[in-house]
Amino acid sequence: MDKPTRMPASSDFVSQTTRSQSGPSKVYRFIRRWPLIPGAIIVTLVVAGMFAPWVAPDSPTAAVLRDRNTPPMWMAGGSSDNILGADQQGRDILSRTIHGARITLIIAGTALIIGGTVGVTLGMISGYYGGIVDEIIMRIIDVKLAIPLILVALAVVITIGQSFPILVGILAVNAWSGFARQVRGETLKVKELDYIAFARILDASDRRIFVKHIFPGVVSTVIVIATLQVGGLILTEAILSFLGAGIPPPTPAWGSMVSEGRQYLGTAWWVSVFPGLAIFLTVFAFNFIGDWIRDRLDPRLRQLD
Amino acid sequence: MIKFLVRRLIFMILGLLIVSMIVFGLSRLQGDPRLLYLSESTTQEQWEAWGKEMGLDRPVPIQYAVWLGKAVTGDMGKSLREPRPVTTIVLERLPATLQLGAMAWVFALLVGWPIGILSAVKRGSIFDYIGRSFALVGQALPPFFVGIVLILIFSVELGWLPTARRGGVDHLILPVITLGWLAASAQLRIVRSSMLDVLDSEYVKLARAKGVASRGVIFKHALRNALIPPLTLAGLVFASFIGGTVVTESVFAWPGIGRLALDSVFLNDFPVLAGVILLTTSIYLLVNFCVDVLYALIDPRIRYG
Repeated sequence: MDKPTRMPASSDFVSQTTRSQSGPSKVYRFIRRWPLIPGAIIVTLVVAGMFAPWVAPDSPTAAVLRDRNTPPMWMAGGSSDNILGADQQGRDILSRTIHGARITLIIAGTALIIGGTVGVTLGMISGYYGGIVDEIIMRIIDVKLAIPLILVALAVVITIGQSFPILVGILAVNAWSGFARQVRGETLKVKELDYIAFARILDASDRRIFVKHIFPGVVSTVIVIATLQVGGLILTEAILSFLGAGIPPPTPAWGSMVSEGRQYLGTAWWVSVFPGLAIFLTVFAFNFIGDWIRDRLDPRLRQLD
Repeated sequence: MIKFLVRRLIFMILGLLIVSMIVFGLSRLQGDPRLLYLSESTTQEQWEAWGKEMGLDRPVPIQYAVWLGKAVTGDMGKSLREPRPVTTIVLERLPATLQLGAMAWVFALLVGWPIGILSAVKRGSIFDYIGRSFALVGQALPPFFVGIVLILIFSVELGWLPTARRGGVDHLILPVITLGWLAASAQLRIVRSSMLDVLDSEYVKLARAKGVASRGVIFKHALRNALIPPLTLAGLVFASFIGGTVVTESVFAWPGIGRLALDSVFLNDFPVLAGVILLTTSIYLLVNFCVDVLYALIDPRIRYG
């Protein structure tokens, strides 16, 4: 590098060193810096989910008996009618997987919003008021961790039955405590800040303090927790629907698709493997992006590991 | 120390009470619990007698007390499918699950700890890269998908290992990996970040400055303290096993309590499922309590804090 006549400002320095890099390594750096692959997975997923009826080549529930157990198109006996093959009832796996993306996103999204709202509210209350309220909320979280969620979900299936609201409710119960804990911690820090004291002196109502002053202070934490939670929610939903405690059939949930293909692993592995891969890629992408956002937005939350 | 233990004990009992209330509440949700607890072949006299025994003519809190009193003494009713007490059926299945859980736990430690330590000590090296990728991939893989892929590779393709039921050591390998996989990657993450924290601490720097050999620093100074956080999470790992055993035992037809729980869902056998839930919660809380005691013994900061 040339001897600089003045000390370069840090941004100049960075751009100089990057400029001196050759082409391929620039691309490599870009990939390292931005989570391209996980990002692409999520974009694909969201687009596929939103436009499922138009994107999917076929209906997810129409059974064509002639196509039973057709292998994927690149294998002997496969055809371009069923790109990823067909299942035991002759339903197109690709179409079912695409519609599954939609189901997964709707369920995880709804559960996240409900669980997040409850968790953030309780977390702020717990952190701001402290004392007995705080103690009670924290003990509830401890107890919640002791509840075997999947077994209780199974018991709910026996006693109440399965439906969309029940599934979302169970997942939301699973999700809220993570929000509450972290938001409480952040609130404890934020409430000591001067502007909260000023707001109090000016006789702002508690509601106003929560909405206008504390929430903006904890919002980055909320975003990080939300992204980190999506993966776990999708995984739990997949486990529940694999066990037959999710959305009732014939709705194509990924977990139940894997479960349906289980008996035919020896003859038609594609029935189970493709939806399973979809779950893996989705959870992987969300976890990766979650870690990435956390490192960008709020590195202190690293301790979550 | 005593105060700490009493607090944990109270929490343990509280947790158990709340879970029992959930189970009880679920059984009363449809109104008459006899619909859940008695089979269709019950005579009118038996129907009346059971109602009298459980105090169904009295207020709900008393019904709960009667039910809880029976549950505490080990009387959780009879299974609807076979005329044997729930307690016997569940306890019969427990050893299989404990065997699987213990082996999976060992697997998680054997895989997670060495890779986690190596990944922290040689930070930024190829080991670290492999370790971190393993953790990221491991936490995104649904347990049933791990099981199915393992079956496809080692049983269907290679024909090396059996796919189902209990038997010799060869029967254990695939289920143990399936169940332990998630825990292994979780342990890896925790050990790595805890080790990194400790390696960065003052006393490790001092030890290095004194000229203690690198190996001595890592094993004598750092490792001992770095392993406290992962050890305390043992209880939580057990909690993740509860959901995991249901999945694993269902994939590998393993005759444990997870499989029992799932079967009881398909057979509408609520008493058995309730028994499994109460038993697993008790075990979970007991393990957690023991871990807390152990933790207090290892780490004086907890004892006097």
